[in-house]
Amino acid sequence: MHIPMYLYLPIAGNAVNIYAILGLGVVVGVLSGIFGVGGGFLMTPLLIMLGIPPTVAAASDSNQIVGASTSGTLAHFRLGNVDIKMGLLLLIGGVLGGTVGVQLIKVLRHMGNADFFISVTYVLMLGLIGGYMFIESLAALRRPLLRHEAPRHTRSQYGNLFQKLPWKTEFNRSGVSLSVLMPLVLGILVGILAAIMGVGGGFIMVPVMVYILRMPMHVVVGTSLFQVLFTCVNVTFMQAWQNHTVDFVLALLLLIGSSVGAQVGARVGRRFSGDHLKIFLATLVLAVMAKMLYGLLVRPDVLLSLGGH
Amino acid sequence: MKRNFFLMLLVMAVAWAAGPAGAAGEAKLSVTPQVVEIGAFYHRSVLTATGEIPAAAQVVLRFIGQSRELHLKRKGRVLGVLWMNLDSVTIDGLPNVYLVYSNTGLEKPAETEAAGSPAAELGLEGLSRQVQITPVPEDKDQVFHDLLALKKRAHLFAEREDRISYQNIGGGQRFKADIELPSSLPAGDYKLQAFVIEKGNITAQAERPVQVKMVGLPLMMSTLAFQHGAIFGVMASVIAVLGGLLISLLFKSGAKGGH
Repeated sequence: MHIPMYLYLPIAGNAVNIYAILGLGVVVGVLSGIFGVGGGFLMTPLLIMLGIPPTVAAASDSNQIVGASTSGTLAHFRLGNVDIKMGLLLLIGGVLGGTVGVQLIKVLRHMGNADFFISVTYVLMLGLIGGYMFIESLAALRRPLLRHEAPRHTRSQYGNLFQKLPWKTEFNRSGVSLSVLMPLVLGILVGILAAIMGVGGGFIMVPVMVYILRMPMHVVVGTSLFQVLFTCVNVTFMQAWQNHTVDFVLALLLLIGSSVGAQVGARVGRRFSGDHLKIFLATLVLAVMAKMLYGLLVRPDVLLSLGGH
Repeated sequence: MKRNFFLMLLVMAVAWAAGPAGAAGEAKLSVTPQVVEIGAFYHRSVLTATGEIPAAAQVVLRFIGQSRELHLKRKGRVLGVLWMNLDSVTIDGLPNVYLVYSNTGLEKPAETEAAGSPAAELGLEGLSRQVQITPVPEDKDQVFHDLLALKKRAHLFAEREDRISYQNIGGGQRFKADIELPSSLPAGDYKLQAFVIEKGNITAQAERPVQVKMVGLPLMMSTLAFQHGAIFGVMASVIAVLGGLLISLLFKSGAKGGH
């Protein structure tokens, strides 16, 4: 029996090796399951390398993240790792922030310096988040005994201020008591950044939940996937409707790989401590930052790229 | 009257000597298949071009698509260190696909040293005279060569040498070439052209239409995505969620079975 090697993607307008796409899906799905990030910041550049146009790669990736995060959210939900109340508040904030961010980009594009703003924001955010997570997790790993003796969180001036905010509520699954304004406002800020950078925002949201909302790492991962799921449903719909850039066949292939990967990732993640997970994610974020910085500093072979105006 | 007649003869002679296409005679060319179907498992396709030319001649084959306006971003340096998109350029007059086959080498035709000869115009470099870039950049040549590099990278532009085979037949020769079409070939109308080259000049030419069209699943998906985007978006999201649930269910039953 002849097993086809290639599949034609009608929206991307190119044929791809089926097994290369499935393999890519598995790898990114494992990372998504372990860290609770959508994986868009990894998948999109890899798809472009396989010959998929950038706009189709980004939109189809959002579509596959819908499936992968459904599978990942369920896996984490069964393990008791999803704080739905917190996730919904972050999601509402994220949608509001995303709308503001899209408008901001429109204004910057009109002024002619949107690309500069996006690139610099990307590198700075990745560097700051990755650097802080790396240093903090490394310090925690080096002092395991002290960590057990010390109280779980030392409350800073900011911590005291946050505790004075109104509409305080209990987030049982996360084991924290906070004002509903906190996740809402943080969701808005992450939404603005995600819209500017053109990503789902998982890798910004995870550190925000860990360091500002003080949620335990395993609940952070499940809750982040829950929030990413809804964000990507919105992006898939908007991209298919407005830009016709969702290649459903490509998304399905990636989904098969990434859904399997996400399940494996969720199980692998449980084998590591929160600090180990943080240091792995920090390394990944810093590696992506280094690649982006290299792209900004080194003269490209070809100065033209598709998609003007 | 006599003067007008000689002037007309002179104009015709100049047109015959210089014109690559208009003044050239007909050549024999056939191509199979004439319709390329892009189905679910389409990867690459090969067109077989055959024909006859005079004994001392060579043939150049060109597979060419339609010209469309193209918008591109252009990178430049910011603050002396950072490379990023600075402005946009619009390209007109560039075919979407341009594949040229020859055995002579197109930049320097084998039998003439004359630069800019009609045969040399058939190569990728010859496109520079028909492409308009707006706004006109200071480094127009660089932009044009970047444009070629971008198209070559997508396998939509290529110059392929020594892929045409010749066989002597009584007083002439028969040629044959396999034209390899890339997997990224867009659906649309194309032309396969044959140019007969003698001493660097085009002495005859022929052209056959080739249609590339989507069929089956790709056609259905493409129609739905471009004509009913909202429905397509809802369908893509729902199927992705269902796919995720299904895989989740499979893993759950797999985990139970394992314990």
